[in-house]
Amino acid sequence: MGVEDIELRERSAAARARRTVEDAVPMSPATYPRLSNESLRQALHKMHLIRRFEESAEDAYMRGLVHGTMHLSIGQEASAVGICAALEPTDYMTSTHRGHGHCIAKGAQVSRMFAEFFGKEDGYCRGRGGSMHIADVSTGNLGANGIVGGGIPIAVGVALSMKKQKRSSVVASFFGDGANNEGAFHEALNMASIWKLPVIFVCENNGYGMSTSTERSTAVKNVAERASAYSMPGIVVDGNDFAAVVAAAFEAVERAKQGGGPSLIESKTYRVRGHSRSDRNRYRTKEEIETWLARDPIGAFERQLLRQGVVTVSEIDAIRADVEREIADAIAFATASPAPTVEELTRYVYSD
Amino acid sequence: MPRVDMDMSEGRISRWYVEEGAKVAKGQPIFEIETEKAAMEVEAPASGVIRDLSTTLDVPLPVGSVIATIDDAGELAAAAPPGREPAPRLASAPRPVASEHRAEPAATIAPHVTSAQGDAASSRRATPLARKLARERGLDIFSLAGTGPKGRVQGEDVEKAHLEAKPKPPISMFAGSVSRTPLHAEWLRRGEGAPVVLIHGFGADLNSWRLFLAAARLGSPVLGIDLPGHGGSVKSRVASFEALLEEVAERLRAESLGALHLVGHSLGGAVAAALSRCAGIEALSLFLVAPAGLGPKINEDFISHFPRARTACELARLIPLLVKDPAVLGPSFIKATLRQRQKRDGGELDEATAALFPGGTQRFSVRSTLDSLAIPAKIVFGAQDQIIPPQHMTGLPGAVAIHCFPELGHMPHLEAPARVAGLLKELMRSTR
Amino acid sequence: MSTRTEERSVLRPQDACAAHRRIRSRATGARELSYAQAIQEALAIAMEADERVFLMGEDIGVYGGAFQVTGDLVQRFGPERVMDTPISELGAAGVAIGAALTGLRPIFEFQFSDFSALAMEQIVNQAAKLRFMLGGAVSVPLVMRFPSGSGTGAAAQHSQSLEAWFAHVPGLKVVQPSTPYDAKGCLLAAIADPDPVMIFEHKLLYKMKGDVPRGHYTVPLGEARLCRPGRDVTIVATSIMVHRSLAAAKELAGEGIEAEVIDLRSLRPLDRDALTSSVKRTHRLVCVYEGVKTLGIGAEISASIAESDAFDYLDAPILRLGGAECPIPYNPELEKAAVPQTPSIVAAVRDLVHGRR
Ligand SMILES: Cc1ncc(C[n+]2csc(CCOP(=O)(O)OP(=O)(O)O)c2C)c(N)n1
Ligand SMILES: [Mg+2]
Repeated sequence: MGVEDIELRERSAAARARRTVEDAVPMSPATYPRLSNESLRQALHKMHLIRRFEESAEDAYMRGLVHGTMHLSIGQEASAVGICAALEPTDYMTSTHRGHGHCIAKGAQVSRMFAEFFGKEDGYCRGRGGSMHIADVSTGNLGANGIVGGGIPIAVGVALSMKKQKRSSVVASFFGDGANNEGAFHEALNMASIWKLPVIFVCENNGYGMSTSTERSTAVKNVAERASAYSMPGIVVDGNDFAAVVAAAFEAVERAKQGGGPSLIESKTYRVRGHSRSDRNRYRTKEEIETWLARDPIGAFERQLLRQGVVTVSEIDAIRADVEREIADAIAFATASPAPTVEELTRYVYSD
Repeated sequence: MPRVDMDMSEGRISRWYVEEGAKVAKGQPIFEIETEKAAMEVEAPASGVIRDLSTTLDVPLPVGSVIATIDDAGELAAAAPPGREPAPRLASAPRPVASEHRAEPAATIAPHVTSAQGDAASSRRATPLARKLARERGLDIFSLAGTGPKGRVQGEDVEKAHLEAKPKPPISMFAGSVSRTPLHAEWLRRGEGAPVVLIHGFGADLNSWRLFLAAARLGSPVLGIDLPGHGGSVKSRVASFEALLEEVAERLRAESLGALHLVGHSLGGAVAAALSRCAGIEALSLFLVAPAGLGPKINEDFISHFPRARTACELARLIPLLVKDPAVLGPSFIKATLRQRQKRDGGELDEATAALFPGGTQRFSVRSTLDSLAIPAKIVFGAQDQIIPPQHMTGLPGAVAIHCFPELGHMPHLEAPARVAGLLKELMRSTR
Repeated sequence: MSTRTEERSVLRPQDACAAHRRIRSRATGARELSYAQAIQEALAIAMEADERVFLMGEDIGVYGGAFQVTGDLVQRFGPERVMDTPISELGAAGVAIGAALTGLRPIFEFQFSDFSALAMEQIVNQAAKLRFMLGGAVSVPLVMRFPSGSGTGAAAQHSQSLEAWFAHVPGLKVVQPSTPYDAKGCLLAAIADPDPVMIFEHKLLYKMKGDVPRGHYTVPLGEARLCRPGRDVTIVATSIMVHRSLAAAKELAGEGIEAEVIDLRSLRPLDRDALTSSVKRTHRLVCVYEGVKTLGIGAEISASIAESDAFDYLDAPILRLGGAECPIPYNPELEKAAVPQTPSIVAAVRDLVHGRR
């Protein structure tokens, strides 16, 4: 697949939003050739877990339990879970400031994530990193990043390492549309391509880098078009359509594993919350947000699975109930976890 | 050239710490030797004056060669306070050195090893300020007791030792038992009622109030007092603010004045404020004109040059710092000041500067006195004051009345005597 | 534009006393503004007065800037002069330098000072050196603003105090205003300056209020400010540490220790005279800054004193209080412990003055 395959979509985000998942994806068992029904149910579980995790984190933030700020990915769950569905636990990932979804999708426990948000010693970063640096190295998540584009060259380095060590793992590098204008993005894609490294570059295009729309920030219509400059396949998918994301992800992962080098997937989606906790939403309209709310990826996925007979209504209810319990337990765990001590302030700067 | 190392046959002087003609004290490091292994400081084997200093540096000199002599000057022994002889520093093998009579073991030198584990007796922890002051006062830093951490000698330690070492009229801080010349005081006006006590500022004397008094036409008796080191009290010296205060208090107590009004300018203002709390002084009111003691700054240029000014020209340069309109302090003021100066050696004011205003800093504070004052008080100052920053007059308790004259300088009582006197009278009336 | 005044003296009377401040306010038409508003006002005055002046930065337009410093300026001056850039720090910094080289006066906002690391090449290798390399044939009248510092829970990559990096580079000027008054005056001075000026603004100061005169005035770059006279010890502080040091000085005054507090204001040029003359009076020096202590601005200040004639006046070791030897942690308690706070300043100064150090 090359640039010519890039599906050119309407410019306006609202117009894009009007195309529903149901329109785009025909219901047939062939929708998920590579995923078992159990995997699909797990994917739905993860999407709910991400959603409820972020909603609860937002709630805890408002209660003053979470320090700093955070970037919620509500509305982008299909993208995170879809890409990670194609990855093995041994595969790697670099994430972004909007990384809660990626982290859970790759297999992290919400209890330790909450502990991190509460600044506790049981947190994934022992309370040192917080939301913006959330990571779980045990599941291959090398970390969210506070620097836009910061993780992209690192992912290329990890891929180089895999190749040199003849390990079969691949690396998925998530980043936003805003990051595609950083020099690091361009330099990284070029190197990944010349050295044919097993990387899947995943641009989660939610239409805006903070307040700046892609129309105002980016010379090309689709970030995926950048791929042609670095001789790699670039594909645009509907990021709110789990099936579309999964299909593109498997293809890219297979290419990478077979030595075919990197791919660039542009997953078009939308963040329904503000950029961070201090966003006044001046750069977009209520109407635009509502249009996208109507395209909620979780609802669409549930309807699709119901229609295909993969889940029943009561199974969905059970998933939701499980998620509620998991979240409640996680918050209890995190609340009880000890805080780090000031004596250990300068620990972990160097290897002990 | 002393042998400072077992297998040393020659050494190089890497640097001298003293110059030809310098007075050195026994035990003071005087030069540094470099051998193959280390650099060592060598201390003076005796006190005296350095002569015939060999200026060749970094050239190997045979052990035993003469590199300098120390003339027994005798005078240094007096400078070191008694009972503070440096602890004897022993060299395992004393070598004859630094004397024409090489064979004589009298003057021996002890190598002072600057390496880490140098024993306490042979190294001296001292701050740069302490070293500087010791240098200036001709004191041996090794002879001083350090009160800082690990026995570090600090500036204060040197000052204390200096004062102790100095032959001068004894000053007892608060005892008042030692006999000394009482301060000079003079009734500037006779009258009825509680007396007014006037205390002048630094470098002035009681005569400086005459112009003000003429304008004030007070009904009360007025007593002027000369601060130690000033006017008719030059025989008394200023050792510290507290000592000065005690002397003034003692003098006033001797007059048995009963209830009185305290008026002070600048340094005298601080004294007046502090006096209001002294035992045996019954103050009715407190009137402070551009008082010191409310903040740390004081014009260093003025404070260091005014006491030394010996010519009309030097004085004239300083006058614009004192008053907004230099005409206020005209030729008669300059003449009077110079006449005063001729009567004394001038050292007493330098001493007062060192004790009260070192480095342009007011070493004393009377702020706490004002914080819980039970008598009415006024502070009068000029916003153009260039001696004491007007900012110092801020942040005082609400009960103290503040009068700021925007167009006046450091001497409101001379720049606008009638207006300032009006305020004084208002204050005195309020106490009836 | 209204009156131009240049502040000369290091001691501004209004700092000493609130009453003075109010009197002065009436006289000069000053009123209370927040630090962020003071900066915005300076930007507006400069853009109004000189059409060569324009702003560049990420989300400084409709969004108003991450800290609402540019606010609604885009409505007043339009998107051509309040330019949102893509997230391209290196490139955008270079663009600003090119514009400055050829007749414009760009003011560049980093969203967080941490992201200046991406633009280091253009700042350090280009902006700082172009004039010199070209033998004086060009100049780079560029202003860059850097929201800095910890205390917001933004963790390791959004909380740094990197000013010392820049102060190490000849060709750059580096200032750290600590009050709304200085924020406006320094920015206007920087805009008028023919060379690149880096302004580090502590994020916790943006909401701080203070008197700001109306109209145009400048605060000379390279002059320290005496905030509080004192006799026992000199505290040299930068940015938010000025306020923590003043609070500490107030507390210490209750114990009879009179600390002099100097706001350095400018790291390059460095006002060495203000430091030496103060140390000569107080005999003790404490440097307080948020950047990492080791090899930071305190090292330069200490060395300056040690090399100067003020050395002989030191009556205690020089003390540095700076950031801990670690990145800024997320946990709020650790975050606080990572930089000097008022109680730690009080304790250190007390020990020093009582000869326990
Ligand atoms: C190098 C750098 N520049 C700027 C920022 C500030 N910043 C954080 S997120 C963001 C927007 C990023 O947009 P995008 O890449 O589209 O990700 P999204 O927030 O939309 O998920 C910006 C400008 C940063 N963190 N790092
Ligand atoms: Mg985006």
